Amino acid sequence: MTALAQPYLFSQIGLDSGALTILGGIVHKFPDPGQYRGVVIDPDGSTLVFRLTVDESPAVPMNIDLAAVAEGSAPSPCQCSADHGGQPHFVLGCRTPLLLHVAGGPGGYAVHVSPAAEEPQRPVFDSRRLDGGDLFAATILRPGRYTIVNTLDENGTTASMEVPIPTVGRSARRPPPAAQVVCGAGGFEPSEIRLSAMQGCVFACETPARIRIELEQPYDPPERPSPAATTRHLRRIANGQDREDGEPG
Amino acid sequence: MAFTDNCELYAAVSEDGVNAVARHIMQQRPSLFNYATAYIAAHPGLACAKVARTQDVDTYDNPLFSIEGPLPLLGVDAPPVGLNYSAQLVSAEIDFHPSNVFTLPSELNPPLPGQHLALRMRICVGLDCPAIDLIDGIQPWASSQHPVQPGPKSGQVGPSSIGAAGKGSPPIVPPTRKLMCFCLDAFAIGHVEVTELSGEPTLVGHVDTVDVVGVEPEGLHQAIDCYLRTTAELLLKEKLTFPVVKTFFVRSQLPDLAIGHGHARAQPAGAEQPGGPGQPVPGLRPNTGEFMSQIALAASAKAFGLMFQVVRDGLHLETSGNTSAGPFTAKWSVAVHLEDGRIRLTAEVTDLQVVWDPLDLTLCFDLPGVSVGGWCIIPDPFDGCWLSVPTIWIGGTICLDIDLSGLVSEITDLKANLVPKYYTDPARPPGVSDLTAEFLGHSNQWQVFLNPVWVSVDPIDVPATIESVIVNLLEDAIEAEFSWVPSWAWPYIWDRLGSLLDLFTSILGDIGDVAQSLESLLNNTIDLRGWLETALAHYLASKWPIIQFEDPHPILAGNPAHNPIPVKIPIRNLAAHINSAEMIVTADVGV
Repeated sequence: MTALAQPYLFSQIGLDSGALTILGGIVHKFPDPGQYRGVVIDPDGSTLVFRLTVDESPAVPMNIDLAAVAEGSAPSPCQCSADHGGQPHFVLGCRTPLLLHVAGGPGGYAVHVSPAAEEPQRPVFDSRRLDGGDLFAATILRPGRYTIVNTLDENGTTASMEVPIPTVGRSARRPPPAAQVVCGAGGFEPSEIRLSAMQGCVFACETPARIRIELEQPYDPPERPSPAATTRHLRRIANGQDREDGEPG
Repeated sequence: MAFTDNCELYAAVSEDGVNAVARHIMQQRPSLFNYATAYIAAHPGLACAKVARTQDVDTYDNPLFSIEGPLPLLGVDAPPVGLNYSAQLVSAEIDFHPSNVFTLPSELNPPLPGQHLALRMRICVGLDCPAIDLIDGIQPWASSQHPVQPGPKSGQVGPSSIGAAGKGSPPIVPPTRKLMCFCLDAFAIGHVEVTELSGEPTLVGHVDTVDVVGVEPEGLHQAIDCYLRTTAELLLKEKLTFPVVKTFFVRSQLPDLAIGHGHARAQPAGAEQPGGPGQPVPGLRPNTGEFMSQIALAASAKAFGLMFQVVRDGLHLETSGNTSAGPFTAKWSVAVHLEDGRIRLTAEVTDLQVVWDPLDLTLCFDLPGVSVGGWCIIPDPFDGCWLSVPTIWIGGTICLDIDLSGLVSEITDLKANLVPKYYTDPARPPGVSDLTAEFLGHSNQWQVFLNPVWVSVDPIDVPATIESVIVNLLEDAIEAEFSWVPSWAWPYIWDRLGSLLDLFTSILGDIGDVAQSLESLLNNTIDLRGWLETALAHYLASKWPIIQFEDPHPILAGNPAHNPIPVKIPIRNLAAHINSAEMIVTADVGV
């Protein structure tokens, strides 16, 4: 294994569904078979086009790494056509969830998808405006208290989220299933969210939404865990004591 | 009775061995046995007997004769005149008590007393008889140039004073065409003592009495006997002494062993010298004229133990290497030395400790992975997951430098036998003599090794306290690897890695706890135990002999300019064995 340093994993604290970074992802389904033209828009406005074919093939979820597409390194699973000018080409079954995510780098991408034949292009999906059951998957690592905002809601509905400071266990903990939050016309439900460390959070968008998660109050450990402190902690655990925070292991 | 019942070290040389040694000395240092004036030395063909010598004597331009002044003509001092002469010990033969080689003359009151030796010598003397015409050619000095004789009351002892004209004048020596030679057979009785010379116990021969055969009248007979006895006694003391340890042993192989004064026995090595209960000494026999070894050395159990200590303390084995064993790679650098232990006369070594110092081990492995994400977005109806957030892996390769220096293993079983070997220096130039090879630093060696027939080393035992060391090393390495991680995120790192001890042992194969995992790595994967057993056996069997000496073995030192060259005795038929009482080494003197 080569060294895998992911500094953005811990340096990007907030999340924005309209500007995807490494800890965010969007799930969308294309109900209608057809040829689509996708555009990845990076933070400075430059774009890169990919092709998407939606057909009746069996529903197998697909991931598209927007960073790879933006860098021109995305693999093209479809070799059926030679007239795509080297653009990435993805084939997706209709009603199959497509996960758009960022595998590395600073991110900040938006995605715009429209039918390939139409001119001017009428968008069938825009990640800056989620709706109709689109999911926004958020991983929140930085402990603290957050404010969640749907920036497309004129009422300015918000929710709050708490992420605790994790503690160290004898073995790697398995976080509970992702928290489910509905973003509807009436706001977020639930509006107060408490996550465990490393627990994911899925926002189901039933109304036009662009979700921003912003750190309001960081929670810092009393001290950075030192090797000696960790050793003592492991000794305590080895001697039969449980996790200090009492969370499930 | 064992050789070493009353001492720690024992050395004996048989009668024919001593005679062989004597021949080597006479041929390698002929100037000790041949005396002549400078003229005769420059014309050795004029001497009464040809001087036998080795090729090295000529190669290194050693003298055949010790130069003496000419024999003065009594009263002839104006000018002084001397005659050329030579005196040579042509042959010498030694007969230890009980005498069985030659018969002593009645004048020496045979039989030979105990603890004494008899010596039969043949001495040839040549004296010039100058032709009368040469005598006539010598012109006497004027009376004013004659030396002045001291008065009868001066009491001075020494040469007469010389007149001004003749002062310091060398004698006139008429040139010699031929010496008038005669040979005398002489017998001597003597003994050998160990005397402290220059701080060392030294073998010194003494001449008790001499008898020259066939000389008359009795007064002349007695005078010649006395002259020879006095000469031989002083010559032996000045020129032919043998430091006991240097002659028979190698000091570096006998640490801390007090070499005391003993009584040299003037008897053959094979006489009255059993090799221990039920174990006759190979090559040794009673003095019956059958084959026997000419040299016998013995070391007591204590001396044998001290010799083993030298071998033990000289051991320094080291190895290094690396291996890839699945999820990790290991690199090691190891050295060992030995401590404690003792060797029995069965060549069994007990209580010998192996100290692993240093024992440096570097383990490198990929962290099993710190993952973020991977959680399920859309579960399926079967309790599985239809769509997950991609897992993001962070991590890399870390290396732990583990210092295990100071660990100790015990050699539980080491049995050996003694094996003599002859080592020929491969760098020795072809065709050169043994002496030249020594001067070039490439002498041959006799070596006696402890040849292990079985070596068993306990597995390396890693103490349980290594756990805390490993934890600290892991934490340091992981912190270095994840140096880019902010402080608040470190709990995620430690949490994802779980127990570092479990992580470590799982990488090493889940053998047991940390100590057991390392023991398995060292003893099985790297097989340091197997390496040590092999290396130790190889070391004992061929690298560090328990006894080693040069062949030919020096018994009289030379000087740095090789004039004279050292006197060296070729050693042949070396054998070594141990019995319940001692270690015995036997050998013969080569030709």
